[in-house]
Amino acid sequence: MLSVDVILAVCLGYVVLLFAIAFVVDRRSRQGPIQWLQSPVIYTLSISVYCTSWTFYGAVGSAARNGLEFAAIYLGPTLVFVGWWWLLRKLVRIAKEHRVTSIADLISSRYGKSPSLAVIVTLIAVTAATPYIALQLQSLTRSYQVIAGDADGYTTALWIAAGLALFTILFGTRNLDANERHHGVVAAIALEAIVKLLALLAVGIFAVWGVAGGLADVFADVSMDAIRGSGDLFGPRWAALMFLSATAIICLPRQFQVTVVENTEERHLGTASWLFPLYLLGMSLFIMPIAIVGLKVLPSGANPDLFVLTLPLWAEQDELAMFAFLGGFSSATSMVIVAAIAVSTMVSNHIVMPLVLRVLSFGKSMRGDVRGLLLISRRVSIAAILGLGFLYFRLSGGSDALAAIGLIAFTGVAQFLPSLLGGIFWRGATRLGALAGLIVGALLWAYTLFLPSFGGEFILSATVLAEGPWGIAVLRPQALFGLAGMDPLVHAVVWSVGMNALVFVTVSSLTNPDALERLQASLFVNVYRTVDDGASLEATYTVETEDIYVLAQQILDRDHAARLFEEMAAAQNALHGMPRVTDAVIARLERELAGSIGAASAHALVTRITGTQSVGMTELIDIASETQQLIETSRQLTEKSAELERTAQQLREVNERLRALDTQKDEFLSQVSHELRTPMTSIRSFSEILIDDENITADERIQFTTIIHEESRRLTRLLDEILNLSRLESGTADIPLAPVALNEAIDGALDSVTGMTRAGNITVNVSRAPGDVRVHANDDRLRQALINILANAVKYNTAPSPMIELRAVVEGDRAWVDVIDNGGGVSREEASTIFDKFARGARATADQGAGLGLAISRAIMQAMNGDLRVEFAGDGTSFFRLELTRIPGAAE
Amino acid sequence: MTRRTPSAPGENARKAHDRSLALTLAGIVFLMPPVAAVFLVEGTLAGIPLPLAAVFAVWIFLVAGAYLLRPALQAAHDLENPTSRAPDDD
Repeated sequence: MLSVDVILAVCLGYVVLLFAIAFVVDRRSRQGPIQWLQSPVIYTLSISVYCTSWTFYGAVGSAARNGLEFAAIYLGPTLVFVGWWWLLRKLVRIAKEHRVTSIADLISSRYGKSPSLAVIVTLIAVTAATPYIALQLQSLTRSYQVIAGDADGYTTALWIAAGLALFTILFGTRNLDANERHHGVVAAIALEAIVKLLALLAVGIFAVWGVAGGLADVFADVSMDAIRGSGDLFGPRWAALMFLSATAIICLPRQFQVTVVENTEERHLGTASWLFPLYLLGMSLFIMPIAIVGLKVLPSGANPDLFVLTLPLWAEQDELAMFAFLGGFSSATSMVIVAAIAVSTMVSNHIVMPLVLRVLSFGKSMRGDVRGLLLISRRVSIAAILGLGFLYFRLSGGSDALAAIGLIAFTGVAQFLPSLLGGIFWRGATRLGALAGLIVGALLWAYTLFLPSFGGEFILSATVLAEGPWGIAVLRPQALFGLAGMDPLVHAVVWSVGMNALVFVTVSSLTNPDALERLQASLFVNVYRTVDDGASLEATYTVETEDIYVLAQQILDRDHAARLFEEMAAAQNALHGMPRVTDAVIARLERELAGSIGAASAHALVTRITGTQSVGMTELIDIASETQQLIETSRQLTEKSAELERTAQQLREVNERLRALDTQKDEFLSQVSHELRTPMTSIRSFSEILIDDENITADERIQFTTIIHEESRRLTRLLDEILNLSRLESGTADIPLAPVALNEAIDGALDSVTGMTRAGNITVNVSRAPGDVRVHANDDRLRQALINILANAVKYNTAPSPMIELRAVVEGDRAWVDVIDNGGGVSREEASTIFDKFARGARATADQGAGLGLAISRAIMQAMNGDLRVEFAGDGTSFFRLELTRIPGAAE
Repeated sequence: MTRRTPSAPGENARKAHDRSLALTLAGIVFLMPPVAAVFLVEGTLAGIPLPLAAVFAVWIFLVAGAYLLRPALQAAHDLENPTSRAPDDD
């Protein structure tokens, strides 16, 4: 038996060595990076903090009870590391890009930097870590009791907890590294990793070749049942253990700390991908032989959880026992130190500091105090977590099966998995989804596994465990909703992780992320696609020129893209073919694309091309096609909009015209009423006189009757004219067109007004068209129009020696007849309104017609495809011009 | 340190990713039920019970596979992250 003094001296020496290494490395690392410390081997050794005293002592215990099942705990992490490229690399990249300090920080940051999520994750982590730390204290105490004889377990545990707290506070909170890296601690746990591996291998080799006679001897009479154990090997429990261990290697706060946060180089993961599984293989190699040999040679009541220590002691190999004790000590202390650092960082950052800052935020300058506060908060948190672990150990009185406690912790932290994986691979995952999933998962974990682990002594009584709360059988914690007959661990994993994932996905799909969540989701999911410093070299572009050419064609038009790429090739002095993908080419492409789809979209597209991840060209081209479709849709919309605008304009114009016509109609009606009223008034007046006055003379009677007759004729004429005009304007007047000899029409019209011209003593000069000019017209109507114009020229001519000139002009396929008089003409103002109905010229007197003559004449001319208008000569005098279509071919 | 320059770096990187995925999937298939249950047979291999030998054989295969894939994956990683290239651990 080793003397207590020797044991204490060796332990103290070992602890001093650890302190010294941590101290030297910490001090040295402040002067600059330490080359050997940043090697992938040290990184891998630090990850082996996964192998706690649960592995060192507990794996043998598990092998003795359940055969090969223990291997599942190491095969899960092996698979995660072998497949490092797919998950670990992304986690490490995200942690670096976003300066993540813990798993709570990562989950909170991903979901819009949510404080509530950080608190939930931290609380789950503390709840899961407390029994796990208690487990380490317990195994340290038990192993000490075994090797040093019976000592007071609780006193020993208290001293161990205090010592661990001191080490963790000293080296875990020496400085506040922005990345939460602890070089001294990493160096110390790397040494511990080597010690525990060598110690376990040494005990294994001793068991196989020192106690037994080689491997064949060890397994000589081992039955299949010993390999199978009491459990169902390779059944649901095996699958659950593989799943839990694979999850734990990422989600355990201490594993996240060493694998993700303490990682200095992403490429170290490559070495760890085979070296860490190899380390686990080394740790597991002799577990079965030690268990089998221990069961064979040690007394039947011996605790299999301590075979690693009791086997050398049984064989009186004190030095080996001491080494094994140091191995167990290393496993436990390294776990406690890293777990305390990781969990205290979470507690301090996400629970203590927000509370402290809120309390102290009244008018105090916080800047100088924050660092000090943060350090104090970390140190208090470390002490509190170790204190909690000690308290749990003290209250639980120590469970006999180490493995059970470890698996409870694994299932607890497995609740982070849906939010973590969803967060880094699924953009649709939302904060509310993560929150709901975590809460449901944690509650089910507590109800189905954590609380029942107290065996009916904490919160859930034995009765509740056996019969369900209030005797409701379907709510039995270990047979929830009737899911009975299952291994309790599998039952708990199915309910807690299964429901967690289901609730997470369902709530995420039903809720919308806010702006910050969207941004973070994009940054996390697409972490490889960001170009961090623009220092990309030409060789870094894995994208082919042809691919970006296709992209360019999708957005620019074909010719434009072709021209652009020719120019870029020419700029690179490439005589033919495509340009090489260089920074300049990418920058130029971005500028060109920006012209089509905007700078932001162009930058996003081009960043995705140049992103360091292998580019999903199909995806990229999909985006481009979508953009192209959007541009096309936008163009069509613009065209439609312009068309609508044009139609609206036309409608506005039509409306204007309708309004004008409406006004004209009103004016017309008003004028017609006025024109009709005048003769009607006189007809009525004279009729009344004739009826009422019996004393009127025969002469008077004749005079009155003549007036009535004249007025009636005037009325009839007026109504005829209105009717005539109405027909002409509506196009219902039947005016058949035929070739008409222009000169004959002029002569006919002149003959009709001969009486008037003679009476007015008016000189008429006629300048006929040369030859037999024929026009497209209706002979009678043309004469009517001509007579009307000539009659006006006669009626309104007040010159002393009145004169009318009639001039026929032929030009091309047009023929004109100009009617010029010296009666004063029409002013330019009158010219615009003189053809309106009831318009009278300035020269007209009140009884000279109704003002419909010109309107009718113009309507006639227009009905014959001609026109009637007022023209002005060079000297400002005006004349009427009747325009007609000449029939070609007629002799001139 | 001599680095073999692949003729088509992008293609080689893709192959490395695919092989890494294949190796991981092989590990999952052979170590998880129902396939893993085929190892549950009586008998020994070099004195070691067959289930134990088989599990450790798959384990060694995974370690060896990861070791052999590491150079190609790290080359792929370096190709994508030229600034992080470190010569000390090759």
